[in-house]
Amino acid sequence: MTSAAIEANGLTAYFGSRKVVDELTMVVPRGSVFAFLGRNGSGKTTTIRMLLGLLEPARGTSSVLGVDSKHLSDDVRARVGYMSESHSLYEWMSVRQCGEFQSRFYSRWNGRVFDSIVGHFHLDPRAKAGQLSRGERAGLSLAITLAPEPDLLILDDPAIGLDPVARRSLLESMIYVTRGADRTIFFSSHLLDDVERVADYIAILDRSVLRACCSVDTFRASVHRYAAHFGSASTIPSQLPPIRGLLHGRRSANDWLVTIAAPSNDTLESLRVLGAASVEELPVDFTDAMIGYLGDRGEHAFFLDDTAARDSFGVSV
Amino acid sequence: MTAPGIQSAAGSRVLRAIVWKEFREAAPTGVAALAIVALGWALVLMLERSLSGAGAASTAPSFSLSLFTLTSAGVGLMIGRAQVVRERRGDAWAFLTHRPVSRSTLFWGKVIVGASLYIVAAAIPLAAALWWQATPGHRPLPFDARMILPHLADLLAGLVYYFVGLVIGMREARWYASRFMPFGAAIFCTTLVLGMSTFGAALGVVAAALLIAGTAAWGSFIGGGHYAPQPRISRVALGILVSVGLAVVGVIATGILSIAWTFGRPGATDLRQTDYEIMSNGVLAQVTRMRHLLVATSTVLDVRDLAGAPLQQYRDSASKQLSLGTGVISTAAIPLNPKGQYTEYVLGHGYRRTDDIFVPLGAGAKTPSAVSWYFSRRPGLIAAYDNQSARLIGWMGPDGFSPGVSLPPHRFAGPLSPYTEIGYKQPLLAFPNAVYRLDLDQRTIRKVRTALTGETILGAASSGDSTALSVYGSPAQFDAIATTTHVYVQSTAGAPELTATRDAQAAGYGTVVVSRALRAPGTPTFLRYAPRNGTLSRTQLAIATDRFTEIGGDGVTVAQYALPRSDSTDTDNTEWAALTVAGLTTPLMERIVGLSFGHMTVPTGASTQASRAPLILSWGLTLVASLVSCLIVIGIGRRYAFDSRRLRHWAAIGIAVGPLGVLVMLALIEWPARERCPACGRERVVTREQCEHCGAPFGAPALDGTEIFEIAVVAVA
Repeated sequence: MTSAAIEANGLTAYFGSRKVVDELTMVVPRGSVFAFLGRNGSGKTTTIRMLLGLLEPARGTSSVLGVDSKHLSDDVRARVGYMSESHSLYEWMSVRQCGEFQSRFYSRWNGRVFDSIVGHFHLDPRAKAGQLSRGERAGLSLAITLAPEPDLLILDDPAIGLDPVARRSLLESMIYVTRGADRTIFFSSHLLDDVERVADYIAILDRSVLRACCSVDTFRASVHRYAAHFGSASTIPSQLPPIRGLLHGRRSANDWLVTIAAPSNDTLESLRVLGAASVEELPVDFTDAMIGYLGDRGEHAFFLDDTAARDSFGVSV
Repeated sequence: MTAPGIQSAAGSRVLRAIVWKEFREAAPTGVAALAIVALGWALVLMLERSLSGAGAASTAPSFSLSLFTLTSAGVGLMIGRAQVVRERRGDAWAFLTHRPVSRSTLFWGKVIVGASLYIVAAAIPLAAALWWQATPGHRPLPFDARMILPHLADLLAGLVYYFVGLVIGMREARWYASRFMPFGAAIFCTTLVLGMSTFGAALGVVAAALLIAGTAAWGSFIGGGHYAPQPRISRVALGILVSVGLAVVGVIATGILSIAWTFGRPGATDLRQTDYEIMSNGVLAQVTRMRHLLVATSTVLDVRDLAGAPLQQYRDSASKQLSLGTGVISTAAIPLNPKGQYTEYVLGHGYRRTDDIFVPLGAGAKTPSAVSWYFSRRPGLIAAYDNQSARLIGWMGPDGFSPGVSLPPHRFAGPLSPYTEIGYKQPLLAFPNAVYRLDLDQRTIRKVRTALTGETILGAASSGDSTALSVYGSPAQFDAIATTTHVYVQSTAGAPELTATRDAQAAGYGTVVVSRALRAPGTPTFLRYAPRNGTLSRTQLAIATDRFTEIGGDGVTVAQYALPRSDSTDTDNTEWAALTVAGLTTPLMERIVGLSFGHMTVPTGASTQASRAPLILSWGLTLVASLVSCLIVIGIGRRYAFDSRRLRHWAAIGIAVGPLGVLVMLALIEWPARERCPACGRERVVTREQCEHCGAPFGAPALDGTEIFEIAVVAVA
């Protein structure tokens, strides 16, 4: 049996002529909590749907729990819990009916897990799913996803739109399901605090291309921020030369603040040759590193390249 | 039979859960469907009741295309589409299908509920309507269990629409392309069901259509609405549905275009026609008329004798505009073939005909009547229904009218000959051994002829109630009776006037019309035998022409001759255009199948004796269209890197069905994107791992230096 919960090899998808996932190759280790990150439209949901066999890839292969995604058997699907970002439910069913309906499909349905999550979210068993708040829907959706005690849990942006309390409840439930068990959680999210809190590994999609696939610690250690100080405004270069790994650069009066992935000695040297009086490494936390990574690549910050916006907002460079 | 995917006890538990869920979701649609069908029936029954109460000429229902045919189809489509359309996309589809159960089981769960709801929604109003119709006092019409059959066929045909609704709901395709095309196939199925001669044949059509539509729906569901992931059998079924739909759309479009073409040109609705007519003076002439189809009038262009020479008295244009046949009184066509269908008035076709159950008598009369009369075949009696109370008020037998519901002791012997006395208040009823005159107003019946030993009566017709009768008196009032050996002409009182031996050369002919030229010297009588509706084979029919027997006033046969073929309508540019369109669009396979069954299709307007040029042109165009279609299909296939096997299949389809094959290919297949190969620079499809031109694989995305890949993570595998 392979030790990977999920494997993707050259997975590629198109919508019409637009490539939405480009040659994605990655491995999700069993037993890990794996965060799948990227901006809106970067291809996360499409990738998840291909992994689950819900969408045919243009090319490439993937497997889930060692089985080709195109031919997932009933048994394998029983071992893979999936929660979509819209928290799909049958609106007319009550909370209790949702549980009863789902339980018919699973041989190892754990009613206690269902009840405890429903209780955790303070859901009325008689309430209709269509009448639940977004947070309550997420709770119910999570309950029916976790109750079959899946070996692999795939959650597509489960906390989207939830208030902090609901988010925390969701996280606690996720942690609950993984404790002591050889379970894998593969989830996409935009909430970086949550990712840092629970994830062991991350993968980052940038405009349909996988740019990072590593442990959280490795990522944190790989993204650096530097402040290159110049003596005066006259000596500071208006543009940065090509710097390998440059994620983001922002110019202030006398400084260039740059975020760089996996910098080498050559990287620092390329800053120094610009004429910087000094180059200082600044502390960067996970959220900043991630935002630096997910933001627009290149040397300019949001407004600096936009003349109209600069004029409108009175930003001075 | 156990449906695929439903295997174990656990499977049945799962199926029950799916059925419960589907029922809860589809029930509102089912209720709406029931309301629609019930409303349709309510409208039909109210209309029938109101027509019969007003003494309308006929209250017989239409069994050909009824409102139930439409409502059952509509609600079938509605239920099918509604069942899948909410769940076919995105997260809802994932929530439905990502569970430990096969998509086949999910599909069958839907079908069990959807089909059951459809049957209930359509059958309950149907049963109620039939009960209402069968209950005395509701409809002035005999009721027979066989009258249920057309509705039963419609009910089952609605299931085809249900599956088509599932296909339409599931298909990921543009609405004007392959998504709605299966609807055309369902319409074709209904057309066949309406046209079948027996209920069994209609059931066969429905069963075949259900098999195809059901398989296509199943495949579309398990393929998530896409074509490529489906099993081969469902791809074939979907291909059939789409191609039939495209063909139906093509036929409708061609029909609309030809109507536009026909009515859009000046003079296009004028039809030049030559036929033989009896002139007022008793001379048989060849008359050429220009028929103006839009205004239903005609202009005489030319009058010639049988040898083709112009007749002197009709040389000037004014004489041609006179009524040429003034004083010539004719009967309706007298049937000579008991199995022939002689009147358009028979309701429906095949098993949908009520003619096999009852024949409405006096129907079509211009004045409303308080009583409706039906010759009911099973008891061999005429039933009289009061239109106001809608109840049976009596029976007419050979002995006369007997009031009340009790059957009189004597029945008419043998089957009623094909009835053509539509609209007459005193129609003739012909049976093998006797002919009766019925007086519907007086409720009397009189035997006007008894068959002689050795002969059987085939049909009878009277000279009718035309205004000419009042002008010409008793000579204009006559009945004609055709038997297996003779044609008898007698007065309406039954006095023999003429006996003619049947023309031996007209054996197997379908009808005879008896005409009398009252203004001509000696008031000659003419018998015109026509081959249509007879028992001639197709080959015999193609060369048979009308035959005339002319009998003088003394009863002696003057002449007996066959008429040269006179149906010489003009072949103009319209027909050549139609010929070209037919040649280009008729699939080669259809022509070959037609040949093998001996039905050489002769295009419109080209008679068998005409030049073979139209036939050659038509075949030539079909071959060219097939060849071009095959080349187009191969070109498209190569563009999208089909493997050789797939290319051969589509090339064969292109050859077999011509342009339709190209359209089906374009409609069915989801075409992958193409992009430039960095190795060879040519366009390549994105769904192949290697370039189809140079074999180069797709490269990994270009690195931008920001990559953070941890070897340990990848190496775990």
